[in-house]
Amino acid sequence: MRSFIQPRKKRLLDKMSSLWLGFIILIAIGLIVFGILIHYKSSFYIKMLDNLHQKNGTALQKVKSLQKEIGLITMQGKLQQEVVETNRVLKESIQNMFDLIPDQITLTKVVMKKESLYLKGYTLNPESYTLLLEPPLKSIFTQTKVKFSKDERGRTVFESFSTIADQTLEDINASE
Amino acid sequence: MGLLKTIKKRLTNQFIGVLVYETTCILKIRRVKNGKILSDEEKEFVLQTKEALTKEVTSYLLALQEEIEQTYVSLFLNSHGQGVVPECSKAAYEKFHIEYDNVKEICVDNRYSVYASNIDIKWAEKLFTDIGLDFIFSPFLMLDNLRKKESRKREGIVLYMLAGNNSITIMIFEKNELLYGTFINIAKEEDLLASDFGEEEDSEDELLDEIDLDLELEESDEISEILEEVNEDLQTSIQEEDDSIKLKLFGQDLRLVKYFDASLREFYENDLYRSDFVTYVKIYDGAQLNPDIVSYLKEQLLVDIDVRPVDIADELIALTVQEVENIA
Repeated sequence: MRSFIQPRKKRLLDKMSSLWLGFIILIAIGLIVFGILIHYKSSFYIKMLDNLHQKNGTALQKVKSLQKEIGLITMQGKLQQEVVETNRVLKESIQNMFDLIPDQITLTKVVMKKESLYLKGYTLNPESYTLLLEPPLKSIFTQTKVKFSKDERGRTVFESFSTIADQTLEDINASE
Repeated sequence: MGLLKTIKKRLTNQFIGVLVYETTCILKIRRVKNGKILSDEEKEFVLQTKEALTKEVTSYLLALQEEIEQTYVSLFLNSHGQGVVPECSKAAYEKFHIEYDNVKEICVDNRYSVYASNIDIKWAEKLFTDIGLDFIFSPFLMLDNLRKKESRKREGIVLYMLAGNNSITIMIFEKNELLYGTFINIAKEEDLLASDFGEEEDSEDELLDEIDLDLELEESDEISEILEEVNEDLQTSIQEEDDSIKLKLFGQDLRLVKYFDASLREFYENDLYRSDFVTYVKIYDGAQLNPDIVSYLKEQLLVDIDVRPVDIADELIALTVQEVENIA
């Protein structure tokens, strides 16, 4: 200090410029604050989105497993229906078959297959078999063979094998 | 702070040096940007009194400041109530009979201190109440500044004088040490704010002012006696020449010579100062001195006198620029 008085304080800018500068700074601060706010908000949303993605993933997995389960269950249902159907058909065919059997014939063994029918039983005489049982069998199957024999008590035993395919009695026995 | 300094340097700085004389006011306006001088202007206004600046000056300075924010207004203090003390301590002020509490002092490089009376500082501040003022510089600082710029350092005791329009400032140095310094207002009008700060010149001023040029040689006044004594020592031819020179001087020029002599006498005779013969005189002429004054002083002192013209307003600007760089 070499002057007898202190110099006046100098403003770096004149009034108008400092006013403008202040205004600009204010706006800049506002924008920055707004930006920060948006940043936080967006990061919050991003987090939420991540969360949702995760949830979605697990849900998708659940859906997949559920779909598998559904598939399984429908398959089981179908199977069950099939079983019921085949059982019904089987029941019907068994009913039909029993309807075929006349009173003079007693069955001891029945083997029903898809394309064949094996019957074993007692008959009063071979004639009653050929008369009463053979015609309906012949009408159903393409081929029908019969074998008669006598057991130790003198009863006539018949063994009949009918098929719609070219199968023999031996084949049936073999398959058994 | 460094950043602020660079920014300030890149702005346009306006330095206004104000010199207030009894009837005129000189303004030097310099605009500087990035170390380059944009414009240099000097204006002179007429003043009615030294106590107030005219409306013209005030409005002009206000307009300049309105234009550029970085404006530094500095005043060259040329009123009576100031001086220089070769030391910095309060004790030194007591030694020189200066009321320490009534002055504002500035210690310069721990070598000496310049002071100005509070009254004079108040006067300056009052002068600039509407305009505003940044610096008030002592003429001693300007003289020392000029001395420091001197490339050739003189041996022995050197007297430096700054001659202004209405004042002379004298500093006597031995190498870098200040031995004596005084400031004298030589304007015709008495400085109304002249205060008694122990300057012997004050009392002498009155005496000296009463001396009439024609009567000088006959008067049994102290100064005339000394002048006579000196003259008697000289050869008759020189004395005649001397008289003829003296006869050419009048008014302010004569006062200048008288005060110069008185100051030198004070330096030689007052025990407060460690004195020896002055071996060289350097005059910084800021007022286009009458060449007769120089030749008269040459005859009187019998030493080499070197005169260098200076522009006080320019030097004031230089001081201001230095100061602004220091404080920024």
